[in-house]
Amino acid sequence: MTTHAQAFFDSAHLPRSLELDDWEILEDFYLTFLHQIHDFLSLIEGATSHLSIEEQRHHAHKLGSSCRTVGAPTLAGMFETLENLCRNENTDQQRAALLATIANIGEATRDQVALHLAHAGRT
Amino acid sequence: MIAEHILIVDDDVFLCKVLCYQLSVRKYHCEFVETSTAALSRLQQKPLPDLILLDYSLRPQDLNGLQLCSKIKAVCDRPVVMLTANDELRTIVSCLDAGADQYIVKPYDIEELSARVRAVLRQRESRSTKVDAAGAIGLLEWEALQLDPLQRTLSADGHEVALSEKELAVLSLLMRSPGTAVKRSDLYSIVYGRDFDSMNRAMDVLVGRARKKLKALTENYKIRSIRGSGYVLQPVRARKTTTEGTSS
Repeated sequence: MTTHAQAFFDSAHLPRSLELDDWEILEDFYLTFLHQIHDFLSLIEGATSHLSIEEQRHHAHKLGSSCRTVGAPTLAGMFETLENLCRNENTDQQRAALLATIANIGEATRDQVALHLAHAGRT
Repeated sequence: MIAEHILIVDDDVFLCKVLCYQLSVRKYHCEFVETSTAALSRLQQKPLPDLILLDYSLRPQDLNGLQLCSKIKAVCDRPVVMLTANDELRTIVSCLDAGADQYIVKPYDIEELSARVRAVLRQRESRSTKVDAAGAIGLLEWEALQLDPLQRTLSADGHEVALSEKELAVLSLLMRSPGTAVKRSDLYSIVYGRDFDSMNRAMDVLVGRARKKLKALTENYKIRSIRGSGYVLQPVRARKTTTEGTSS
């Protein structure tokens, strides 16, 4: 997939912004982030009607912030857009399209974080 | 020196962990909870945290941050710093009205956040010193009311109620000048240890709580609000006498 060829995750961002080089702590942060993304992707898999607009807004708000912090700016931007769309009830189609994109980019980002975990953990 | 203890309330575990790390580097002891229920449950246990960092936006099914802030202020006398997603005036005002001592807008800069935490903790320390100084004077009596700063109780007619640190400070100040209005700004600066902020309704909330405690104890005294002057503690009979005198 073309999305997987793009870099959606900057593995240097979190250690740099926190001035942190302790891998055990970083690993815990990345694992926690992976859980959050995984849970959200599970929630939006298939029918999106499981999530109310308020729930979508809340997840988007939290995940946008988490993505920005972890070093996934593309996904962060999408969550921020989703959060803004959720403030307007007449955006069903736009939100559905965006959620589909988020699912795609979210998976790619998750894979890249997981890959970093696997590689960095071995070094 | 004992590390000051911060409780973070946010349903975003990732950000909680990052914030805990950032604060622990700055020598704070941190823990976090994800729900209002867990937060209120934690605040039933000792030792209480020195400060609570509360996110404005909790899960939709949960209380919102403002509701939780009010509840926290009702059950414990600890400063609350609210984390908000925007700096809109109505958001800030609602945070302060709910009793928050400070707010910080996300995405936060950790240096700013820790500076605000230090400021709030300094204010609390300053206030505690003043309350302790008041407490050193010992039992305060006025008419049938007795205020015990050491036990933090107010009693009358053989009954007593427990007081929070701030309620004690308010009643102590009012009982030192019974029948005389104490300025809201004076009360605020002494109790909160900082300059009066007319937008902050925390003083009204606090006086409301002190009123309820007093009313639960006795119907013979009340704290009246005097428009433009402040608050006064007086016997209910004195007010009736004045009113009767005026109307006759």
